[in-house]
Amino acid sequence: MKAGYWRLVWREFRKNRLAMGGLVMVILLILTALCAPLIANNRPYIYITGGKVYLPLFYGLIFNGAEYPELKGKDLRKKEYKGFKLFPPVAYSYSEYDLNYIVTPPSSKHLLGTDEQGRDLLARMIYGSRVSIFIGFIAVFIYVAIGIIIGSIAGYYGGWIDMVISRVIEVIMCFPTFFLILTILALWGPSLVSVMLVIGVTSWPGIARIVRGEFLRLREMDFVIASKAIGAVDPWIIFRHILPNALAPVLVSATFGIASTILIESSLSFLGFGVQPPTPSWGDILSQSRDFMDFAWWLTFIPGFAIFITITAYNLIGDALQDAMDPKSLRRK
Amino acid sequence: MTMTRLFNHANYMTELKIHIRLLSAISGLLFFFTGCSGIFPPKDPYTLNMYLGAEPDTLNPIIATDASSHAINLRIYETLVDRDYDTLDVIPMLAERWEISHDKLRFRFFLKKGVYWSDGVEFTADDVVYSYNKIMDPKVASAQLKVYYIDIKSCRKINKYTVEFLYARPYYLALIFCGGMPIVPKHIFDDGTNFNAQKNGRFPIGTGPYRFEQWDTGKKIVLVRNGLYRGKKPVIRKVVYKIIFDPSAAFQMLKKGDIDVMGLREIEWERQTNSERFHKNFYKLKYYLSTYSYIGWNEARGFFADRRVRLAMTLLLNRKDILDKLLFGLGKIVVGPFYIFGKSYDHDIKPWPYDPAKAEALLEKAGWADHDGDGVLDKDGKKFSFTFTISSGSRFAERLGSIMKENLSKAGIRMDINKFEWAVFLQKIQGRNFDATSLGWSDPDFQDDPYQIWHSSQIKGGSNFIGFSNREADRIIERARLEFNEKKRIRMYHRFQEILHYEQPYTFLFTTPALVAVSRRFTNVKVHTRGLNFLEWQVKKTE
Amino acid sequence: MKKYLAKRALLMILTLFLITLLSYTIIRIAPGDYTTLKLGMQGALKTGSISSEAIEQERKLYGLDKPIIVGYADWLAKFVRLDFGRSRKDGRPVLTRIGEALPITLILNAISMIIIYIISIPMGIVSAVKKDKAFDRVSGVFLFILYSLPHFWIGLILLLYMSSGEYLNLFPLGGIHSDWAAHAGSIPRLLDFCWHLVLPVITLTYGEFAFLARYTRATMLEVINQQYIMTARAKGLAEKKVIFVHAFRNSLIPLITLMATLLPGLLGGTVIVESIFSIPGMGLLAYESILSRDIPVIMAITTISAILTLLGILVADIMYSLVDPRIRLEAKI
Repeated sequence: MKAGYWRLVWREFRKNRLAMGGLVMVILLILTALCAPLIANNRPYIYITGGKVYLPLFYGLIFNGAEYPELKGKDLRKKEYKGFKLFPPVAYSYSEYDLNYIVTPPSSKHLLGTDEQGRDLLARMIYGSRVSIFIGFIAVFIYVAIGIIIGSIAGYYGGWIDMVISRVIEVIMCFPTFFLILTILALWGPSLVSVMLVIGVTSWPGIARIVRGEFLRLREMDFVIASKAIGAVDPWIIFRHILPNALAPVLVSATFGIASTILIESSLSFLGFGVQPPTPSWGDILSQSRDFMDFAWWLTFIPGFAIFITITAYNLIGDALQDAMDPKSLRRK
Repeated sequence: MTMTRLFNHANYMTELKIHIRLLSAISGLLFFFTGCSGIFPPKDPYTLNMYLGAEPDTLNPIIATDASSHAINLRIYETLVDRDYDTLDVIPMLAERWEISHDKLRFRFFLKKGVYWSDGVEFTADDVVYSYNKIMDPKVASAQLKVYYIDIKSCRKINKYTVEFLYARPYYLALIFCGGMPIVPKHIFDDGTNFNAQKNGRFPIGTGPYRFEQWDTGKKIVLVRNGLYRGKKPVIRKVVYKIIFDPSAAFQMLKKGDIDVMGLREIEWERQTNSERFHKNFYKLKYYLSTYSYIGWNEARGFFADRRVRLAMTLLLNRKDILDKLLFGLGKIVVGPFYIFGKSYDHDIKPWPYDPAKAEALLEKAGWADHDGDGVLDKDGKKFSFTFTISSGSRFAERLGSIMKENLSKAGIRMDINKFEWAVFLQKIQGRNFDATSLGWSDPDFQDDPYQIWHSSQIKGGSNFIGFSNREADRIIERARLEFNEKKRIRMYHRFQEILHYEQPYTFLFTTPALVAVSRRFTNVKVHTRGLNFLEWQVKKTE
Repeated sequence: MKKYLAKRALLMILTLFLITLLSYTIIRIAPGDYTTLKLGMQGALKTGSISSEAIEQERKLYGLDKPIIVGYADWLAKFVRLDFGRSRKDGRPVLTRIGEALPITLILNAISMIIIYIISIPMGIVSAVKKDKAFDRVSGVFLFILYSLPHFWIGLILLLYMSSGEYLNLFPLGGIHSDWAAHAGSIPRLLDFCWHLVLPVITLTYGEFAFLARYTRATMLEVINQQYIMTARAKGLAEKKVIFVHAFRNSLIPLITLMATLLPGLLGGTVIVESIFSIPGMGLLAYESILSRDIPVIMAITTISAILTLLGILVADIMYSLVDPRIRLEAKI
């Protein structure tokens, strides 16, 4: 059932052109995030001079930021360093600052302008995508995993285990999330990891409820009762039948969850509780731009727009998935 | 066939109706509101609109700790003495004169007669003694004040208009301290209720030029002229402190004219307030108060116990560049903790320059070099990697940190930045749980005494959280407290500054001026040493 | 039914107890407490040293020296007498502070909810009726885009471009009253209040249309395809009557049920919108009391919002079962 089911879903999904666009967008973002140091870096890929071949960018990647001893401290972008140089498309690092170019608008030197420390915005946006993508995926992965496990246990065993777990779910749902987030961030110190953990810990109840609901519903179904009747009480078999059914709504919820996680992270950065400087995150750049909103439009519009596009992409995908998995539309095939 | 057409037609009509209704509703509203601005009454020219970035907790001067309450209470409450706005000399306020005993331990104040609280009751020595007792009362939440008056043995009433403070030890600032003690009306507060929650914290009664009228929680606090004030009536009849949480919104309100006075940030001063329109409507005033920023190196942590390392850190920071570019040159580099325009500041001491080469040499002498060739300095197997702890509210600290990180990494030092929410940050600092941090000190009263920050007795539990301990400095600080001769004291403080310059417990950064925009609705707006005083402002006559 | 209600009530009390205990524990564990903050302010900004005895004295004043369990028991004892204590910040009774902030948030959210319903439902109905036609597609995409725009970004942009002196000057820069409002009559005061709320309400509502509109559309579609609708059409009923009388009425039920779950949201504010527009509502109150570790206020807000959420869930469950007899309440526990 599984293989055929997913192929059907995929076929239905592909029909939605907007969603496919969203998927392409997300793939592009993932690639950008993964290759960020290769796209924006102040070191060249390759530098040939005096008969010697250097690979400064890769050297730095492999050796954790170190430089060739002969090239230490040299800014190879300067004209005085002769030789063959090949630079990445954006020849700036996300943290290098130039106090002579504070808050400048987009120009030929800095394609998207600079921020309040003279850092290139394009480079920072590229690196910022890492935060968005990784937080999205990892946090959601964590809470989906937790949710599935706990939800299955609650739904399968029922009885007092279910009651205890349901109470825990209620407690977490009633708990003011923001308060929990602030406290955890205060205890652990704000960082990428803390934010992911916090979102993971506070969001699993939603998934757990879905999974639990599916278990409760399917437990009563004929095929399960039949299996039990003939003596196949193997919980593993039941899991194999029930979980895939539950996965559909979970997947949809997870996709929307990625979008909302990105939004939560941006909001937290906006309030000052996100990633540590100088690591860029789109929400952080946006929050820093508040001071200059009336003349530095690039610092406000560009990150805001990037967040918007990313969230839209994920939402489109989630939406199309939901439609694609809708049994009514599948039946028509 | 008929049905389908009916179906379509009906739907079309429904849709259209909905759309039309919606559209007319929206345009009607828009019309209405924009047209509305005509019916709003004009602003009162004798009202001053001030900006508060945070709501005060309480207006009880004995319990309040935040800057907002102090700003407001300054206009409502008075103290025994005041400081002249320009010379900073001690001048009479509620006391008409005073006598200091020869041993400098007794301070006798003779109160002005015929001074009334704004509810009509006369101000007497009972109020002063009551206030002192409340400050020192363990059940009253006044720890921040108790610290200042710990050297006072007693405060007693001699007669209805005379009060005497007895000090345990002589202290050159004693007059200013006991003379500047906040005084609350006894007949209001002494009603048997819990002082900390006394309702007059929300409804202050004072003797000053303004009296409290209203506190609209979360929105504004309003003061009006005190009819019973004995001094010259200010021209401004009403002061409205508007509570605005978002500084960028506040800036917009300033430009729009909804507030009249606001402190600007450097970038706003340089880049966002230069239009002709702005200059036509606002004064831009700049003045230096006694405040400075610094980077503090925790000497209890291995790295910074060595003076050479601390000095190297200072040499690795291009302070001039930061000042010129990040702060647009609005400020001055400082080398010590004293007010730069005050007498205690030693202008002969020049700031350490930006010198990475010399820094490297110093670090090497201290044993830090890249022995294992990984690009990071190390010593005895330990890498030079530390954490810079800052509060999430401080943009300047964040930018400073980013710059430091870049500079230090070029020198082979790894630095991580940890941003914490203010409450957590404070706890870390007070728990001495940090490697390095950046903060500032501000001294609105221009008192020079370095005891609380630099004396070694204050390392545990006091404000000397970087752990600076130097015997000569301690001796100077202690002796200066007893030195009533200003010239001698200044010489001592100069020597103290030399020690600080040599030891570099802080990397002293900058003193930055207050950058204030004031609406040109007001005239006679003058800059004094202590800043601005709207009691003297006049209102421009409108044509 | 009575047995069910009784059982739920007991469980709710248990959950409430757990929530409040957890909240209190977390606040106490969190680094930083009210005294450190209050005194630290002075210490960090002014020249002042705080001796440890002074700090201990202050802590005793606020009961912070007692162990967590004792502190919680103290709070609980007062709570059952409906005494929420006094705010640490200004010594006023907590209920007074909440009483000041609550009406504002209530009104803001109520207006928002009304607007969301007024706009979303008709859009949903029309989209369902004209499924896959131009209106459906365009509005679908449009609402989707609105849904993906980050709140804080839009709020800032609205504030900057619609209220400041620089561009348009249609709306006030935040707050909820103009200066002169206190002296004006009640009609101008009301209008002034509405005028101040326009931008915040827009910011709060624009993203929510999507969800409700789609929900309406989905349920309408389900209903429209039912047998009884085809019967009604066959009988020759006018289309308008078919839609509004039969179809819509049946989809109303889930919408009402939904409202019950949205009820608790009425009393929470959003920190971001309130801080951008300087609205002194519950969101800011909660945020500020967390940052200043004002324990009585935090506990009060947590408790009240927990009670409301639990009630909301209960009401939703009951209504749901009342409306659809096929769903048995027992299975819900």
